[in-house]
Amino acid sequence: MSILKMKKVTIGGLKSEKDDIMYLLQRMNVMEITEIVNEDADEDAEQKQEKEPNPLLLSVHKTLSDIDQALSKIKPFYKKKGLAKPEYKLEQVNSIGNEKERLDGLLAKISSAEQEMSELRSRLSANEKIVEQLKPYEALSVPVEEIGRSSSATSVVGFFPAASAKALEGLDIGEYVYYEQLFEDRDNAYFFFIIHNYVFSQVMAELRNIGFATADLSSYKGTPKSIMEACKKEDRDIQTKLDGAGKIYEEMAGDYEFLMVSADYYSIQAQRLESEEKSDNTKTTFFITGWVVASNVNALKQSLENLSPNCFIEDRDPADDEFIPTALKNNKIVQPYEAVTDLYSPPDARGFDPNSVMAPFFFILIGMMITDAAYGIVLTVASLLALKLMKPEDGMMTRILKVVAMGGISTLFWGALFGSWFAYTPREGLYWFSPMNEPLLALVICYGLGVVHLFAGHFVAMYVAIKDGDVAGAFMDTFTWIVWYAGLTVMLVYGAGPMLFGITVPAVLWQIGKWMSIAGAVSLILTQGRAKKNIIGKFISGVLSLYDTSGYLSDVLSYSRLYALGLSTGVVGMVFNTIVGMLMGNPIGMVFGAILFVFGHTFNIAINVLGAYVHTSRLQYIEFYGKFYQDGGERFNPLSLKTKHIKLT
Amino acid sequence: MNGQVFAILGAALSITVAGIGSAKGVNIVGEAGAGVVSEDPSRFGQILVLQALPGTQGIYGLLIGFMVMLNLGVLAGELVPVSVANGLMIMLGCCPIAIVGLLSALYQGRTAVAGVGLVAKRPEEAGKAIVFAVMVETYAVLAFLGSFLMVFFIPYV
Repeated sequence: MSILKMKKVTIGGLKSEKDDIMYLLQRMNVMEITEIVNEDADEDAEQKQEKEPNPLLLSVHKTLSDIDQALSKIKPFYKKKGLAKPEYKLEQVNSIGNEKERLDGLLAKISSAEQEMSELRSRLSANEKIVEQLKPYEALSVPVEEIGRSSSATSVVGFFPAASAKALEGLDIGEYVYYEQLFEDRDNAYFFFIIHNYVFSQVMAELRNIGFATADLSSYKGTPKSIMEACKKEDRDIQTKLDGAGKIYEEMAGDYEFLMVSADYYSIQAQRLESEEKSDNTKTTFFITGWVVASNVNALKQSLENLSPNCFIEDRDPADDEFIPTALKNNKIVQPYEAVTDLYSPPDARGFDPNSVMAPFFFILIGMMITDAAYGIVLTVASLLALKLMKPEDGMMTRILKVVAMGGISTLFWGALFGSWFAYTPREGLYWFSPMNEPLLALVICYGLGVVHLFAGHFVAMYVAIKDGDVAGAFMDTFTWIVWYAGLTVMLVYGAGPMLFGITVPAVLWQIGKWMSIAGAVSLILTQGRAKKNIIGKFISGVLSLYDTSGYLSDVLSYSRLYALGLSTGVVGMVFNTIVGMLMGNPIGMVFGAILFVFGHTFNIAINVLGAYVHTSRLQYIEFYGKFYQDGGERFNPLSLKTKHIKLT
Repeated sequence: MNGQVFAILGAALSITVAGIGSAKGVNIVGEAGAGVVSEDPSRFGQILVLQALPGTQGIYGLLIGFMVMLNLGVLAGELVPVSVANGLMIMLGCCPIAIVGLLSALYQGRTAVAGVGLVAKRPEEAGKAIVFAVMVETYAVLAFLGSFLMVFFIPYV
């Protein structure tokens, strides 16, 4: 319901007790530790730069990254029980974290295996290069060490560009040369030559002329074929060894949970040490400051006194120019909707928490954007199931799932009202009307909801202004607009009612609307130019302010998306149902039809929930929050026991 | 010549043109996304959502085409006779989603590409990147609504 009052707390104590105090703070989850700001800030900044990073923190980070790497390697072999994170008590985590030797043993085993594997892999790639080089000469029956100059002739291997191979036939190199083609690929033709020493240099010159390049195979021994076979044989051995070395991860699958717990043990330690970095130290004492929710200060004092008689704690109210983190307290139903606001920006700590006003609108609007009763049931059941099975910690994910689960209920309501169950329409009389056949009525409902939403925004703006003590502003800048817009809306209803729906509207409505809008317009002209100095400027600014009315119109029309998105859900569903209907003629078609039905509607739900969620958020951000919201806060983030792999109980 | 030809032309255009826009939009986001995923595979989920966003225009185009086919009796196997004037009107009714669908998918794709950059630098802000991209979609939604009202209420006689 509200933004909690914060206090700035300073804690001082003996350095020897620092660890205990920090651990207490971390377990209590009440204090966000901030940098200590000294009066002489410049000097302080210089000191900060010179400050050496804590070696313990560095080593904790190193261990953490080693464990993370190990976890990612072992993960494919670890069979997870259920979707939820395993649960551990804090004492269990600490006792597992203290098994330093077991952890070091595991990490050492992994790093030696990794080293062995990387050596084996580099041998594999070396062999691959050899095979690649020798492949074209596979047909050569002469061992490569015999290639070269002998007493009467010289043998040469090498290749031409494929195009020059033909030129070779035309070449006049006479009977002192023997040659054979070994291989040909897309680019090159590979040849073996034996050339009499007597003509060697002339022939080579001619060959080079048509693009011949000699290949140097002098580093090998044996025929290319035998060398390649040896390589392949070695590859097989290496592969066996690699597989053997890779087995280590499979064997370690049993240690996976131990490693997960260790990772969280060290990450808890790292969080604490990072907060400690912000403390101010003398030789024997230390100081930390931070934010605590006002109602928790006494509990914190009590716990610190119980822990040690030697520490000191002091609290004060925030200074006027101080940035305060935002701590929100909402009831169970509204709390998930904080995820929607946080995506925009948490409220300023000195501002107004919009969540409890926004939540009911979000609930109503998201349902209207999906508008299918059966989809609503699927959404609620699926989200609750996901929450039950995955047991995610309280975070963005949980909240979004809860918002969607509630949205499912609203979807069920709208879907039943508009007669759509998996895009099938029930019997006449079981629903109100079908928006597809009566778009005008549906659009009017959308705009009606929009008007209510927008007016709620204006009233919140008034409330916020009055709360901040600006009563005059509340009436002149907000209430005037409310009267003006309300008058216009009433007149519009009077005019459109008979035209669109043939209903008779009492004439008194016209009078009410007329006088309201006149009163609104006059007061706007009188008040909106009040910042201007002379009377003409005041009047002109006042009149020009009425131009903002176009903004009101575009705001209202923006709610057309409620109808359009609901419509597109319905039509996509209808497309799938029509195709399914066509398939239903014979048994095989029925099987495919059933599959298509499930697939099609799942697809439709998935794509429309995303669209509905984001478009509903947009209506809140632009149309609703635009009227009053003071953003720019940062969520209160106390030092706590945050875990990634396990769930603390 | 009768109006059925124009009605079918309208349906075909809305499916084709909006579909082309979506294909291109999804394409450019995918290309940008592949670069980010090559550095950090864990971003795949967030980027996939961004990539899916410009895909809706193609769906809207298909829906309008489908409505025309349904009212014209294509799916029932027997075409309803439609006058040339009505057929032309149905075709014009398809234009908003065809044209706005094409362009908004392209622009939304570009916004989403910028969003991919945002996700690469600050993964925790993926939600904001999605909101930016969805803002563009507003106009495809409005065009869809306009086309729908036209192809649904223009008489098929």
